[in-house]
Amino acid sequence: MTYQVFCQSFAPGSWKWTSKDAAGVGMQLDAAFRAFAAVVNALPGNASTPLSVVRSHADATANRWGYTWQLGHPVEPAHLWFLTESTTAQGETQSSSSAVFGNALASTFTNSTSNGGYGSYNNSSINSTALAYVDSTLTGATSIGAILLIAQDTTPGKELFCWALKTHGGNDELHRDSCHALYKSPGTTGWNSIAIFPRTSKQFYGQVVLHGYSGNSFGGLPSAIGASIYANGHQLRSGIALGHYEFVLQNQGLFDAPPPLIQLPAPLFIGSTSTRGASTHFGKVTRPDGVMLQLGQRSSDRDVWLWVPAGTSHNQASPWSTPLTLSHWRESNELHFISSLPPGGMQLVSGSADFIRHFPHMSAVGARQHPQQGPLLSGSGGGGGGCSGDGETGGGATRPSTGLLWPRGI
Amino acid sequence: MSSRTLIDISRLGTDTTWPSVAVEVNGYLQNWIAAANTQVSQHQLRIATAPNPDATATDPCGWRLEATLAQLTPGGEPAVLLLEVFLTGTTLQIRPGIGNTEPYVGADTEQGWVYPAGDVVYSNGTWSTTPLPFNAQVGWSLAPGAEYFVFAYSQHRFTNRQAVPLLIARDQVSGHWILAASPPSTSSFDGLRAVSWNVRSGQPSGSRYLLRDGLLTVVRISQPAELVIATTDWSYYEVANEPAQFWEPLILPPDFAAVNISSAAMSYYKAPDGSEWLAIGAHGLLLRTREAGPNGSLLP
Repeated sequence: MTYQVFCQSFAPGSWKWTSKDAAGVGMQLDAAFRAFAAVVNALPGNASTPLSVVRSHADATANRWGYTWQLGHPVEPAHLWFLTESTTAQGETQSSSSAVFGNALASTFTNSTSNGGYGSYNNSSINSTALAYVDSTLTGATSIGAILLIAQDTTPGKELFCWALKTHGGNDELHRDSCHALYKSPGTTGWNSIAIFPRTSKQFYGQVVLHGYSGNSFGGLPSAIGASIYANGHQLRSGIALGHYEFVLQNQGLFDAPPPLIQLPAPLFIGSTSTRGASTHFGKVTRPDGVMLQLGQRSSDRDVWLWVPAGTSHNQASPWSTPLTLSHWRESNELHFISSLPPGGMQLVSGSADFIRHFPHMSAVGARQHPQQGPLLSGSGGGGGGCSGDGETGGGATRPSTGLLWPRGI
Repeated sequence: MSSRTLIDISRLGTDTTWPSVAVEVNGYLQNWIAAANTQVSQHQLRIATAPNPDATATDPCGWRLEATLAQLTPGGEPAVLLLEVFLTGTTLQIRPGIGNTEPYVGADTEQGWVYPAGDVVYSNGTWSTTPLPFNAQVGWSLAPGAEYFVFAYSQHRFTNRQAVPLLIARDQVSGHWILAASPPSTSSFDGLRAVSWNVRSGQPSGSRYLLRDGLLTVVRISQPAELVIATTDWSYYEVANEPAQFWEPLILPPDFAAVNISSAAMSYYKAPDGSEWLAIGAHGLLLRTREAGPNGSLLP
């Protein structure tokens, strides 16, 4: 089984994110990631893009918890991290959170115990702040349990490691269910990353944090997510193009080799849902051909669900088990799951008229290249130069012979 | 008739009335439908109402089209897709719908007219009848599985006078017809009115937008051209308890693409892969005039 979905349950009050206990959430996640990395690093296609762990919960020396992963790349490896820095609930308001996703080139890393054990960088980027996160030591949360759910695919070309920490019990407002996925997208060399933090009453920002590492920089990915998701229809979509890889868009110039698009990992559906239904964050939809599990939370801003086809299993040893048998799931309704097709082709043309690739209709030069207007212009005596031929329609246009004055011949 | 054709029917406009243009387009449409019905025998298209050549300036003049699908409604009748595109005075109204009889009997009233989704209702656009030059194209394809007929119209350079009054195309996923039109409006909510039938969810599907990304400063031509399916937000209904539904996407044939530029009718793009595209309507729809590659075939 190359696509596997498995989970581990942690008893109420004992699952502490802020812990380096080997059986705790942080180190179990670390172990699962290392196991995934070992498998995919052995694939020929990943010889130049190996994954490794730079920091984990085990390295924490202060009040900072999380992980730093190294993403291999033939040009230069890079680091990507998710760190929380407080034992209180974070991100409930814009200013109160220090939980971040960050990235930097591996070469800028100072391997020290500074910054709570996570080392320092002389040039790094913080891609998102004010992420809400919760810990079992939080007031009110000591009685809630947690589930660490992992979906992974080790199929060459479809590599995916997606983890979600789902809490259960207690007040609904305590939960901060979210997910982070590291994956390969078709046509790209390096690793891509997406984290989805649903906006809720206790999560000030709903955030989708995207990274695509191209060897020398992390792309700021222009996102089609907003355009792709129909705002109020309870729609969750797969097959979304998230942005371009290896690329900083310029406002002008020619794009002769459009870079590949980074796609949403195939099993994920993201979209908007609202707070109703049997459960705000343990939704399940059972189909004859599989089960849809909710990784995020009901949110008008980026809920996230996982498709688990029938027959999906895992070969992980105890305490890992299948999430399908958990009693927390509640069958959900009133949602629309749309299986989209990832864009198969994307062509980029300069935004302003350049008369090489882009011909606005209200220009003489543009009209000359135009398949319909061009032949009319070049057919007149004083037009000069004639048409390049690229724009001609081969004589197929049958405009009416009378009453036709525009565009005029020169 | 040839497999793929693009005809320019642009006019000065001074002595051209809408009925004469519509009747001309209808001639092409009749020929195409006859061929399409032979080729796609399981789905029959019909012109229920054709443009009236004698329509006065205030008479409704346009089309009601029907597509009878092999798909049965839950009532056991063939599903009938409906599309009305009528110019009345200066108002171009587009109404997509579903009927459950053939021929559709709701003829003169709205009784029995079912819209394809909660918010895919009729759309009105303002259509100037003053004599202005207009650009218009009629295009069609009988390529098996990728059949379409399109009538695009742009009244000179007004951004709110760019329309695609008719777009009939095979959904690339289900094979059902999509009946659609794009009104002369700059409102993104009027990007489109479309109706089709979704096999996976077993119900009509409608749309009012192309799926496209407007966030880039470069022109981005994306394929396939996908319609955003309009779904009903049941959260407003306390006791709806609708089951979760799974949908296949609605995809236009490969001669169409979505572009992140609005109000660009008649603009022309030569993409790096050699393909060439003509912008039609005001909401990001492109029609391919040359296929990719150094020797891509050129329309017509």
